[in-house]
Amino acid sequence: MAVSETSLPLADAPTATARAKVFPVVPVALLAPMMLVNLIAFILPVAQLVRISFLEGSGGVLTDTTTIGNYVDFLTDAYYLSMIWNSVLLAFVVTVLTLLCAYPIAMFLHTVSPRWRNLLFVMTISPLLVSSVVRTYGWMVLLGDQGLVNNMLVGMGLIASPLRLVNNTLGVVIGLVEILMPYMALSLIAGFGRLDASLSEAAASLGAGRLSRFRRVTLPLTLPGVALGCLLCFVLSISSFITPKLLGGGRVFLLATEIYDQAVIQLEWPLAATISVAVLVLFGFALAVYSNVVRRFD
Amino acid sequence: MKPLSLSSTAFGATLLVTGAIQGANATDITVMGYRGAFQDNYVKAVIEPFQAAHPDIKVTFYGVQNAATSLGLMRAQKDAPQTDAVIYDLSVAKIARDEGLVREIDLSRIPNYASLSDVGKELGGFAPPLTYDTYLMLYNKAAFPVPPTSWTALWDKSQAGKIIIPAQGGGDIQAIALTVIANRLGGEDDYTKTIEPGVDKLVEMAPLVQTWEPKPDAYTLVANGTANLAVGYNARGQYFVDQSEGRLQTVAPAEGTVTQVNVISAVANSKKQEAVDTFIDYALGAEAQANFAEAMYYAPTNTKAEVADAVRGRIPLMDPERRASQIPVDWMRMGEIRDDMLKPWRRQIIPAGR
Repeated sequence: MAVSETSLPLADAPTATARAKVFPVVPVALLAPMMLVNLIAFILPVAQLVRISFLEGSGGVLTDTTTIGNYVDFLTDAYYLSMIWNSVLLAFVVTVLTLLCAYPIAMFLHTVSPRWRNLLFVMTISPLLVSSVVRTYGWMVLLGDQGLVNNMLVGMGLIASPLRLVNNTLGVVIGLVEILMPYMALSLIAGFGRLDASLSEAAASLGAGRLSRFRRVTLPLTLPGVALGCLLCFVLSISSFITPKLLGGGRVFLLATEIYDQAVIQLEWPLAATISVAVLVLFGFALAVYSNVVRRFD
Repeated sequence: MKPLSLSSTAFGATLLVTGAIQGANATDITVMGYRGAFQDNYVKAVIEPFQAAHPDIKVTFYGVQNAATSLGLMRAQKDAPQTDAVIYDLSVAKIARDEGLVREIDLSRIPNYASLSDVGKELGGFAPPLTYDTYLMLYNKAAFPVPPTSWTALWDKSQAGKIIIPAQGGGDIQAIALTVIANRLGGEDDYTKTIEPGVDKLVEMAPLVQTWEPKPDAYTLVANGTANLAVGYNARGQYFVDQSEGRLQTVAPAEGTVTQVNVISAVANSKKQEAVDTFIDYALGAEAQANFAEAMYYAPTNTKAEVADAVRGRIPLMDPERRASQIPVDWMRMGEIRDDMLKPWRRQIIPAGR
C-alpha cells in the first residue's frame, strides 16, 4: 500500500524552522581544526595588530594610552600618502609587465603539442624551486655596476660608463617581474584551460583575422585567468619585502618595507601596525575589484 | 673481550650519576646579543672562560640581527622571558628601561661596576656599559694610495657612485652619528639647537651615494672594491681589515668621531637573577673586557682592563689624543629627539640621491 506524505502525522514532519534549528554538528566538526588554526594564526594576531595600531608610541617607547593619532598622522602626512601611491603604482606596473611577459608564454603552452607541453610547463614554473632571496641576489650580481649586463653593454661599446640598473626602482621592477612571472603564468595557463581551440577555428572559418580572433575570442575567454593572475601579482607585489630591500638600495620606500623599517629600525610599533592595517584594507579592495571583474566575465 | 670488574662498573656508574646531578644543578642562562662575528668572538673570549670559572652556570648566546630585534623579542616575551640578559645599544636600553623590560641590578652584586668608565653609565644598574665602539670611515686601500683623513672625503665628487652610507630603513644609529658630524662640518656644533646645516650637507652628499642599504654590508663591499669609501664601526672594521688582508682600511678622521656604547641588562622577570648577576659582573671584569677587546677591537669599559699595545693601536678610544677629539653625544637626549634626527633622512636626504 502506498502511503502518501499527507498521511504522516503532522507532528513527525520536520518543519523549516525545526530544520534550521538543528545544529550542523558534522560540518562544524570538520571545519573546527581549520577554524582553530585560523583563529590562532590569523584572527588573534590581526586583532593584536589592530590593538597596537591604536596605542600611543613616544620616542620608540610603547605606552598604554589609546589614540587614533596614528591613523590621523598616517592619512594626513603627504609622505605616507605618496608612499601609498608609489606602492600601488609600482605594484600596478609590475603586474602589467608580468602579464605582458607571461601571456605569450601561456598562449604558446596552450597551443604546443602535449608531448612538449609538460616539459615546457615545468620549465616555466621551475624558478619557484629556487628561493626568491637567491634569485634576487642573482639579479644584484647581474645588474650591478660590474655585473654581466653592464660589462656586456660597455664591452659592446653601447655605453661609456655602467648604467644604474640596481639600487633603485628600476632594479626592484626587474626583480619583481621575474620573481612573479611563474605565478602569473600558472594563473594564465589555468585560464587558457577554458579556451576551446575549435572556437578560434570557427571564427577563422568565418573570416576573422588573427588579431580579431585574439581580441574577440581568445582574450575574453582567458580573462578570468588574467584577472586571477593580476590579483595574485598585485597582492604579492604590494606586499613584497625582500626584493625591494635587496634591489632598492635603501632608496625605494614602499608600504611593506616601511612596516619592517618602522617596527625593526625605528621601533615605532604603533605606526608599523597602522600601516599594516592600511595594507590589509588595500588587499581587501584588490579582492573586491577581482570579485567584481570575475563576476562580470563569468 | 675482557669483562668489566665490579669496581670499574661502580666507578663508571658513579661518574654518570655525578655528571647527571651536576647537569641537573647547573643553572642555564641565555644571553641575547649581536650575531655573527660579535657572537663568535664573545663566546670564545668571554663565555667559555666564564663557564670554566663557574661550572655551575651554563651560558647560551642567542644571536640576533640588531638591538631593535632584541627589544622586539623582550616585548613579546615580557611575562615569560626566554632570555636572561641582553647586550644591546644604550639608546635602545633606555626604551627597554622605560617599558619595564629590564631589571635594575643591585650594584653591590656587581663589584666590577665601580671600575667602569663614566661614559655610558646613564642608566646605572639597568644597563651598565659593556663595550665602546667608534664610528669612523672605511676605505679601499687600492683606491686611496693616500689615505683620507677628513670626513669631507665623503663629499668628494670624484668618488660619485663609490660611496656607501649605511642608513638601513631610512636611518638608524649610524645615520644619527653622521648627522651630528655633518652638522659640525656645516658649522653648528650643538645638534639640540638645529640640525639644518647637517641635513643640507647630507643632501649635498646624497647623489654621490651608491647605496644606503649595502648587502651584505659596507665592509665587504669596500673590501672587494664595489665601493671605495664608507662609514662604519671600528671593531667590525678591524675584523674586516684582518679578513681582507688589509684591502679594507679604517680611519678616525681628524674632526673627531662618535662613540657608540653597548650595554648589558638583566631581563625583567628572569628567574635566574643570581646567575645573571654573576655573569654580568664577570663580563664587566677586567679579564673579560681585555679578552674581548683583543678578540674584536671593542674598547673596554673597565678602566683596569689591560690590553696589548698592538691592539690598543687599533682602537681609537684607547689613544688619548683621539679619545680627546671624540664628538660628545648625549644618547639619552638622543632617544628623545631620535624622530627629529631621522625624519630628514627619509624625506630629504635619501630622496635627494634618487
